[in-house]
Amino acid sequence: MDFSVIKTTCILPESYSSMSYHDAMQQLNPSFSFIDFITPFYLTETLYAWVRITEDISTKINYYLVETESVDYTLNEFINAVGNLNPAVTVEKVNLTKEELLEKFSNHDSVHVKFFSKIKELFD
Amino acid sequence: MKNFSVIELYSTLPDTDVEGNINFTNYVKRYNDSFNITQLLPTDYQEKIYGWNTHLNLSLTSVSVFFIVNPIHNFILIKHFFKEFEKLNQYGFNFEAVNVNINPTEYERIFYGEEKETVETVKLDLELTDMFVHL
Repeated sequence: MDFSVIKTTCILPESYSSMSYHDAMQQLNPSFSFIDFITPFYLTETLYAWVRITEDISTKINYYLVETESVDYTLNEFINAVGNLNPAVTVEKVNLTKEELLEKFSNHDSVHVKFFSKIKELFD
Repeated sequence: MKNFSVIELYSTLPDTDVEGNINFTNYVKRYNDSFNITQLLPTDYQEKIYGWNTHLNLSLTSVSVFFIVNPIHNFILIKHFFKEFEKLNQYGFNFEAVNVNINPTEYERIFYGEEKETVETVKLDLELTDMFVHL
């Protein structure tokens, strides 16, 4: 595999639990543009896909599949970008087995693929 | 109201000697006279795909095929389309499969052909108008 996984975790207030992660964070952080933040990563083809999952009532988890060669740079960019968000978002690099990733891609709130060719071997 | 995702398949055209009024289906028919885009869809697509259309860009050098799909089936359809469109590699295509977020302006451009692109709207569920979901 030539990609790595960055995981972000955010516990939303329960009053936002029925909203999508994106919509809730947009309401809670109106000055932050997720589109502006994320777009450069897929324009430079360093971000291949992401999956959003809800655990418990309102714990929102994102798994980002990114290019391994630049994962540390991307990780730092993510950490810097979410540093002032409310509620706090934790960012970490995680190791997942192929089976664990397949499970994430099968059970999710949403999935967004930017370059299927870069991750297709995972799903062959 | 329906939520939906948009999947785009895009590739450069293998041959740039293209007439200005040709669409994607007719372009592929130059290589395979029996080509029909529904050959690349899942057999039970009616429950998963709300509509699609095809664009050749203004310079007639690339093609995009946009599918509006039920987001529940988003990922399995990306896998399906990528595999099926690989069948066109024999003619010189090399398709990439991606999700795209579209705003209302882009929706008009993509699905109502406001630009002078060659647009081939094969099927469109009109109940979808003005509804967008962020992935």
